Amino acid sequence: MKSYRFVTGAVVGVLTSATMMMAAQAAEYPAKSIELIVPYAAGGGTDLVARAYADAVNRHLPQSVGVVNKTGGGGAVGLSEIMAARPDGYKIGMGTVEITTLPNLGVARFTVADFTPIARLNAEPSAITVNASAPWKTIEEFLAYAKENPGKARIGNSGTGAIWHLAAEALASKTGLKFNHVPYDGANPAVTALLGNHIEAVSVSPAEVSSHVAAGTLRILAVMDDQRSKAFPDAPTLKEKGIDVTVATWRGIVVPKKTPENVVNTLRAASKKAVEEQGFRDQLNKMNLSYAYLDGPDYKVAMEKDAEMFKALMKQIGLAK
Amino acid sequence: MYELDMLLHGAQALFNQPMALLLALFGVTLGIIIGALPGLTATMGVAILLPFTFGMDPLSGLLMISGVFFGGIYGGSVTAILLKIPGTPAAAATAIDGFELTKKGQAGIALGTATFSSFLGGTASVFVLIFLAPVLARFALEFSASESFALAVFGLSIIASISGVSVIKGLIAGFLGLLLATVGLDPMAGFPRYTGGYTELFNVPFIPVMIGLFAAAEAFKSLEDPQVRAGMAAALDRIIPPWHVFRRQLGNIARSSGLGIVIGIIPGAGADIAAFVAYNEAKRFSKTPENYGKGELGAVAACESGANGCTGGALLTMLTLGIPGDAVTAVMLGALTLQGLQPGPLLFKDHADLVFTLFAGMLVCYVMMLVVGLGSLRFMGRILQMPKSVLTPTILALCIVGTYAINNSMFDIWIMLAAGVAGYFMQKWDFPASPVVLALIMGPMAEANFRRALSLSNGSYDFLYTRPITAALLTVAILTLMLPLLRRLWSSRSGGPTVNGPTVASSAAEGSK
Amino acid sequence: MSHAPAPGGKSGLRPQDRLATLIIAVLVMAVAVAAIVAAGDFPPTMLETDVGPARFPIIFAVALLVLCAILIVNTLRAPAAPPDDPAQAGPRASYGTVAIGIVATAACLYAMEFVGYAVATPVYLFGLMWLMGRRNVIANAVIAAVLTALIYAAFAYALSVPLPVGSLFE
Repeated sequence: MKSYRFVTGAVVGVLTSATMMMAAQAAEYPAKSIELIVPYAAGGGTDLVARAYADAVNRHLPQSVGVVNKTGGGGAVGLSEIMAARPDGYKIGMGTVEITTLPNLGVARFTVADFTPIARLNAEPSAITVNASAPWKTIEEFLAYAKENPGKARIGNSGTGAIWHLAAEALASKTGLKFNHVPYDGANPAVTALLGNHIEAVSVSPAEVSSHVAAGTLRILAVMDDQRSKAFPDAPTLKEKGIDVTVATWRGIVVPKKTPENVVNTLRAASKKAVEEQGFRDQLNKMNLSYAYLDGPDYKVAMEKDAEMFKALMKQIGLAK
Repeated sequence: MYELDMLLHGAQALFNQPMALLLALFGVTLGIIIGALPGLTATMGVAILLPFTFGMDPLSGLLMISGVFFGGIYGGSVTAILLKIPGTPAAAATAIDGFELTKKGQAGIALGTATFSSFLGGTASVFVLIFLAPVLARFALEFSASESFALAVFGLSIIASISGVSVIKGLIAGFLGLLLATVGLDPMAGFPRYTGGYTELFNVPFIPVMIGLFAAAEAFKSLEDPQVRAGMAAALDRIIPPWHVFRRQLGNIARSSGLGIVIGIIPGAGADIAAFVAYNEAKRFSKTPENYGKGELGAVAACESGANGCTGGALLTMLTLGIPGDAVTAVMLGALTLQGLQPGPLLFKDHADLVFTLFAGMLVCYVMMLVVGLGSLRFMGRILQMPKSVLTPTILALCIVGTYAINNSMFDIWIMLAAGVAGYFMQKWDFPASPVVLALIMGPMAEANFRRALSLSNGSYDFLYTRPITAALLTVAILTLMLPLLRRLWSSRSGGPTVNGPTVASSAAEGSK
Repeated sequence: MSHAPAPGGKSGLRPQDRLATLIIAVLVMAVAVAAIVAAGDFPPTMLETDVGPARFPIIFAVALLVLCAILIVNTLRAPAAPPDDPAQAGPRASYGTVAIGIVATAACLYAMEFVGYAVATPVYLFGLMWLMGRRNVIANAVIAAVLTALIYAAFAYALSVPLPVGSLFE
């Protein structure tokens, strides 16, 4: 039976190459190409950051970094895969703010503690944006309207439990106001509804409304950041207005928690060099994404702070399971 | 006329850039291949090419991506017609009658008609994009949740007309699909329904189910009679449909393209919905509606011109408003932003030269699609001459790999296999597969938008009849659902179904031999 | 499981088709009932104006129950077909082959999780070709290998979709 011979040959061949690969692994890291798991679809914000990063970091690592999209479950599928990956540094991932929100929703098995942060790359604050034809010129006017009409002000978000929903909820809980939160299938459809005047406001990031603000069809009333946005310096922060709410989405590189020290350090060093390249920053700028680099340890602190904040908030509004 | 002037300028500029044209050709060809393979959709093709456009000039990058978009929508029809493998969801509608035509030995003419219809639908939509963009863009903003809900209900009413032999079995298949579509995260509250704890099930695995129901089920069926050859070896003797046959489809194509353009403009509705709606309307206006589902050339023409009509419509809202109408244009929006071009009202003002050169390039892309399409059909037709004992294993392997490619997930392949087994039994006892696919497309759209509309109106059901577009669409939906039932009831009262004559297309094709 | 395909016309039902249709209808009804029961555990909505996650699945499931009931009644009332005409029956389809094919596909998927695409696929292709009556071992092996390589090249290189490596080799 020649077919058996053929099959045996194939099996032997694959086995030999696999053994060789394992032998190589024991040597210096990285000895083979690295997979960068992106928990969201190709072409979206997280994917664009990942691809720009892969492009830049490739020049500082002896092996190439390839982007693989693992979508589903609002990020839960991809993040679970990163968590469960063999901690050898050959499967790294884009860790997003959902690491801190999904566990509270009861749809994920991971928590912040399951990841070792390598570098934060980008962060986008939430912003309250209204239609340019709306009567509210300032955030105070809008909040006054919401106070007079409890439950009438409809704020579009990118899905229940998603970051922009939580941002609007955080604003509601700090100000004691009552909004009508309308979930959409992502930020873009919410912006579309705002353009058509079907809702009063959206809580998505300035980047996601920037073209409409530039065209004069939408107006940013306030951003939920510590400082004003560079692109829209006229929009005040909520902090300036005496409302202490800062909510942002962030994206960065994470690895499973048991990854060896030397691998983590190699990746941190390479990431630092990559983000210092002008090309990487230009790439982010072009895509309206803000550069927000934090090294591993600082990133970890920021992650843990958010995890605590969202846990308390989601429990308070009844989202946490 | 300003637009015409600019377009001519654009065409001139375009032909001074041979590199951009070459990349467009590459994009179209790659798009057709990606569209033809199961699992790989135009969305994915565009996403794959996106990083390569980083280093290109805007025109080349955008034309290449447009080429993949156009080619991807069309490519799905080729394997749908030849093998009943819809490469894209839109082609699931094409497969209904297209594969019946192949079984009748008319694969060539079906493919030719599909190619010409795609070309005409797509070209018409690009012209609308060029000349009517500002007027039509506003229409997109009229569409809120209640309108999208009504559109989805209208889409679902089509189940009655694609049910085939038995309406009741079609409706069962449809409602089973609707129930299946509720698996995953609930669209308003984010609660996981029927997932059994699998995060992979948080989104309905729509494309794996479609590949299983159509392609794998058909492959399993062909295992029944392994000895039989495909038996259609000589089927591709004529690809370009004879003029007297095609002429009769022109009205149909015009209507379907129009529908496609309008549906493309509507946010959240894409080529898949357009193809099914075009099928339904073609049947409604046909003189021989009883031939639909049994191999009617008009059905193929309608689905393809409808699906490709969407491209211009979806691009229209993306370019003028910065609102992506579907998943492909959402990725394209990213591509434009990457190039430093901010889609939206200012794009036409600030970058008019580039925009109109791009429009000229899009028209060229469609011409390329026509040429590449027609040129490759003979080659693709060879597939039918492969012995079944090689073809069937190849199809199954492609189903497996194609399904894996969507999410890089083994889980999806198991879903595909389960759907394949279910599909095998369904077709054995005349439960049609296309209502399931339609329900999977429309079901989530209907539920999410109904509940969103309710939330927008603060809990009042008024939106069902106070909003004109919603009320009109719902009325049409009820008529669509009731008419075939009433007609059937009527004909069963007055003595059995009418005897089916030969189709117009088949008699014409026989005459031309 | 040896049912011949149902005849397209409505002239009548053969006993085995009647039985099969009834089985399918009952299975679908079971699914619908299970869906309704499971929906009972869905939490109420936290948005005031929402109908909650259970409403739509229950509507769809109830519609399925009604439709299946109609189908069962129709099937029971349909006239029986005349006994099989031996001249019309033609060659019997081999359902065993279909069953083996489905099992082989499942086996291939199972194997792929461990040994990866590059090993599972050629064996699977070879097996199916053998199953479908191609007995030329060398030609089959070559075709299987070439097809595997072609698909691999198309997906892994041209489309940059990595194919499963298998947990043994990871």
